[in-house]
Amino acid sequence: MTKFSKKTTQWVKLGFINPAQAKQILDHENGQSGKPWVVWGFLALGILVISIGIISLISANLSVIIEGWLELPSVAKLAIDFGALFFISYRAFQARQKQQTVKFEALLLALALGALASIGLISQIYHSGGELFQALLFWCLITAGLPHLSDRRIISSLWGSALLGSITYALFVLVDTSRLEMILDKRDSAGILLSEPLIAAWLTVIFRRLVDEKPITRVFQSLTLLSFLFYLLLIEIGLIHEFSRRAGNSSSMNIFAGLALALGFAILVNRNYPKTQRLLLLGALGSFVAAAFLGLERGDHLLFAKAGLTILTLVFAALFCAARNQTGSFQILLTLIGIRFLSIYFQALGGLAASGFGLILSGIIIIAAVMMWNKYRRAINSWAEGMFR
Amino acid sequence: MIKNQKTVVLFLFLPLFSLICLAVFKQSIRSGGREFTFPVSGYDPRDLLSGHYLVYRVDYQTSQNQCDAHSPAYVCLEPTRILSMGENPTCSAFIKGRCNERGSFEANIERFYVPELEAPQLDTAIRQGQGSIIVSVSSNGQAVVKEFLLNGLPWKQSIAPEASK
Repeated sequence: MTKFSKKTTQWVKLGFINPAQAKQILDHENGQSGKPWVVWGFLALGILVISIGIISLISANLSVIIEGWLELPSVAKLAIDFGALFFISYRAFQARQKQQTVKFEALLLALALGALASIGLISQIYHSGGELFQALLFWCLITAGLPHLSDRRIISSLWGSALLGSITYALFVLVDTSRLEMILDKRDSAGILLSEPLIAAWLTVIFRRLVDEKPITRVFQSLTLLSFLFYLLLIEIGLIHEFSRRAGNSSSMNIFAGLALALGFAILVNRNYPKTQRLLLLGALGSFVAAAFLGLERGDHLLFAKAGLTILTLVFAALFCAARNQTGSFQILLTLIGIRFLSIYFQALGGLAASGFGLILSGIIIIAAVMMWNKYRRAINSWAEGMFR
Repeated sequence: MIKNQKTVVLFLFLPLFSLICLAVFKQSIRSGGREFTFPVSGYDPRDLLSGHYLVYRVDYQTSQNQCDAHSPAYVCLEPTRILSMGENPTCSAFIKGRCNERGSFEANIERFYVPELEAPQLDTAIRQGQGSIIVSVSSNGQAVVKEFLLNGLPWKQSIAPEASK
């Protein structure tokens, strides 16, 4: 609160507010004693830790809780589990009725994670086989309503990530890499890995149509951007090539190309975006697809072509974010473009950069770039926003 | 934010309701199906979500063991044991499943969960070819593992003397 008293005193001196208003501000801020986000943060952390503990206990399959003293039969385990879930659901309902927001959100998170642990328990009791993605898809299905009840991003993020991950894993089953160890064994999985941002983009399109701009839509939007950036990085460092042993006849790349084409068509006919924004999205998609196919090839001669496509993808994405008034994403993308340009300089002038002269020059470029950016970032943002509105 | 109370109740209780339905479905197969015993062989990996379990290959004792990858298939158990592809079996007792990428038949019964402490003993026993499973099979071809046998005895009984040594 010291920070606020200093500020209000300063504002009174400058004549921005009168002493009565300063007192009102301080009284209001003093009244906000329990900061809900701090409480919520620790509660969420505690629930996550407890849930991981419960899942670990189920993983260990402790049929004997205390050896030789208490042995739990399967029916008792299920009864305790369902009883606990009922208690959580009921208390969540009560908390919502009483408008106890933090308690309600905490119970929702406990319910989501408890349902996941319960699927593990049922699988264990009935010795179910099957893949992890099937369990996750089932979890997504039965907890699909929870993100719509929550105002916090954590449940939507968990649910969205699980859905994206399980759909991607299911695609691996469609191709011949149905086990995780096979994916890690770098069989024909490049196309499926690269499909992840496209699937995230598809989910954004679908959820925007279904529930409009709810937190879950924004989560898929963030996952799209994050996965695009992640796979651009994999392409650039040449890692994606390692996941495609049979690049010449890759069925996974056919799936990738098919998904990209369908997404391109969906963008083209989507009337929710103005024409210029659709063109920017198509530009970003096209350059990402080109970068992905180029990423399967090896050779130093492709270094600048790969860098060029990465920058092109980032530029299209940045302009789209600016046109949508997503300032935060725009600034992140613009920073990444700057970093990529700087690394091109190092790649082009490797020998010189290693020398003292090169390092001095690099330092000057970095400082100049930061100063330019600091001076003109608002102007660039406004220009991009206005240009593609 | 959703205002409708009925929707709130539905969203809050759907996970519990679905899980109860799943457990009842599995239990109905376990207690209402016909029992068959199959020898198994395999190995033991770990899995964070579902715990410590044994993974094995089931020997359905059919003349043919290979089928087309990723296609639906079934094993006829009566009157004759035979592996067939397709989805419409005509035999009196059968297990529905799919062929995996290696062309082996799988029916989601290739896993048996055991307490962490006893897993190594069971693993050794299966490697020596002494394991078998009792499976309960419903009339529509769904199967659930009921018991794991070691040398013809339920696994808990079988490893109890080993543990007391």
